[in-house]
Amino acid sequence: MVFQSRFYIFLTLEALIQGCTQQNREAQAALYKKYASVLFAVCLKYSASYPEAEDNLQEAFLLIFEKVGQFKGTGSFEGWLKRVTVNHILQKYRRKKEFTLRDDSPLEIADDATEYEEQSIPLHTLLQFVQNLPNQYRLVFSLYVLDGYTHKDIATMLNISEGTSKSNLARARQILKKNITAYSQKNKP
Amino acid sequence: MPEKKDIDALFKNAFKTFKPQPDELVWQRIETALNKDKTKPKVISLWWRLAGAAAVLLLLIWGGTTLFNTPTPPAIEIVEHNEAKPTDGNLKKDAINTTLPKVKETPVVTEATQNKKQETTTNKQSKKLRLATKATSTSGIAQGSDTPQTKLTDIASVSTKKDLPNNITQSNNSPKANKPKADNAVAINDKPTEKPSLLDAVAETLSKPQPQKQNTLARLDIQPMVAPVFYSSLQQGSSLDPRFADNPQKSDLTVSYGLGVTYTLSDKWRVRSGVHRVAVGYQTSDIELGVGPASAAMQSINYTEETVLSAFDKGSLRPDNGSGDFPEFTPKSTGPDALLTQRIAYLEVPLEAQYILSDTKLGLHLTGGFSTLFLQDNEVFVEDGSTKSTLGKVNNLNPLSFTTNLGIGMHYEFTDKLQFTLDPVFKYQLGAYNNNAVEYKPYFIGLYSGFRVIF
Repeated sequence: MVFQSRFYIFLTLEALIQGCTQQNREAQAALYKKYASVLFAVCLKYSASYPEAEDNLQEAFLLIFEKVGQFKGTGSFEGWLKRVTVNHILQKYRRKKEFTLRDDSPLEIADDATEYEEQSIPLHTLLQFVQNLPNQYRLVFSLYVLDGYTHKDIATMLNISEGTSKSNLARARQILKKNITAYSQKNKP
Repeated sequence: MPEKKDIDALFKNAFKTFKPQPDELVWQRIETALNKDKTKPKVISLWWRLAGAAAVLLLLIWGGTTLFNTPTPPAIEIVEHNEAKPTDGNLKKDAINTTLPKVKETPVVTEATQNKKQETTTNKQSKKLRLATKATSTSGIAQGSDTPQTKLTDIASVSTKKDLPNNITQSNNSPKANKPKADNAVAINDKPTEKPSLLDAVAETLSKPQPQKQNTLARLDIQPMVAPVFYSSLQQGSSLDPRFADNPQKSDLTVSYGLGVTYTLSDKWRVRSGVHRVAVGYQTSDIELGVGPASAAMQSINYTEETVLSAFDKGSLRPDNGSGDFPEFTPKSTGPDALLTQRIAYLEVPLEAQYILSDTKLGLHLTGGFSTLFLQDNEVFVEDGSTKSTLGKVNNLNPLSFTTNLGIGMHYEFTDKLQFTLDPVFKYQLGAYNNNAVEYKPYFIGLYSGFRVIF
């Protein structure tokens, strides 16, 4: 058990949200238990390290408990939670002025259609590759590839141009490919 | 043969089933932070307690005044009286038996008694009498030659003619007293001296016209009220965002309306309550608008979209040097007279005491007390010429807040049932915002006016 709590019945998501709005600790614990894993995955993809991801998860849940009453019921609640989490992490990076890799020149990288064997690269290794990317490249890669945002949305969220978003993505892919190739060669049977 | 995927698909598929479990410490830290928020001292509770104490005090004053306001007793007519005046100062036994006059009750119809639910039969009315007594005799009548000067004491309750003590008998020889009807009880002097008898003295007092007590209690009146409201802050700042703290601000023109109820405690004191809907607001100028991510917009506003319209200090989005403070926002064309307006609606329940300074036709009164404010609605919008753009609702307002009220007003009496009142009241708001970082100490001044209908 992650934590100790009495068995509390929240028959519907609405009841769970209502309980959290009223600062009911049992409801908050139940919400954490239900969505901690999903949001921790988000934090790990956007953070530079495991401890940073834990901090981001903690702050995101505190923000969620504060703002849960603002969820209007339109769209998926899980999607809303993810957006709150991602926006919080982006805001932290913005405050730290991390987005300095301005690169408005279009990257002259050929459309690389290289395919890779789905080897048994452990997930934690892939995660480490992502976390080792420069902050802005990691954010663009995670937003575009892992969470499906468009370059237009990414440009607005990170205050970069669409061209920069595309070139950042290309550079991120380049680095990841290099890492995968090196790992494959190292672990060749 | 392992399936080949491009790099995007490789990572996408790998993270599809990614369900990491955070350490238990994360929840413990979250719980600690939540508990810390709960134990924050709430300043507002002190004012809530004071308001409650003030309400209890006013209720006690009202209750005490009601309880100790004795009703006007029915008049008592003396039908017989023994005029004998013993010279030796001793009371003769016979005198004892005959001194006490037969008392016949006569109801005096006064405004006070008329409104009371009492039996109309005078014989059955009970009343309090003042009796001169010294000893603790069961008859209540002083006896004996050594009787010192009697004193008036508070009574034993004496009922009607029927219930008079048995040893009080009527003297057949006693002349009937030609006493005027009196409003109050008769004091019985059983030791007449050369000085005017106590009975005579009391009778003389009673014969004086008694001022009828006006029933000033339990007087309720209602007052529909309307008031223009001026809203501002005692401290320079902004409730929307610190960046507007030094922008020019002015009160939004708003109105309060509702129904007041006044309860008169005495000629000098009244208690007032009621329900009002009060709208307050203020406008901030020297702004410009931009479109950008909600995560970087004004944090005091709730957003439902990712990309939103937000307001900024004029010049911060497109300064002359080309770089702005908010590069993620795209400037939106804004007129020079654009105004950022916050409007808030409350349901106000006041509890005030009024002290009447002068109760002439044109009178003055002081008002002091508290109001409880229940948040009804709020809105933040920008008016640019004829265009109005809503930014959203703020998230830093407390649903419950209070004001301390102080004012001096005047009233003009058209008739004894109808008055016009004009009450400028200053109200300082407590606990308006749930964020201690908001540097805005709101107050509002309302010019409450209306006609007071007295029942």
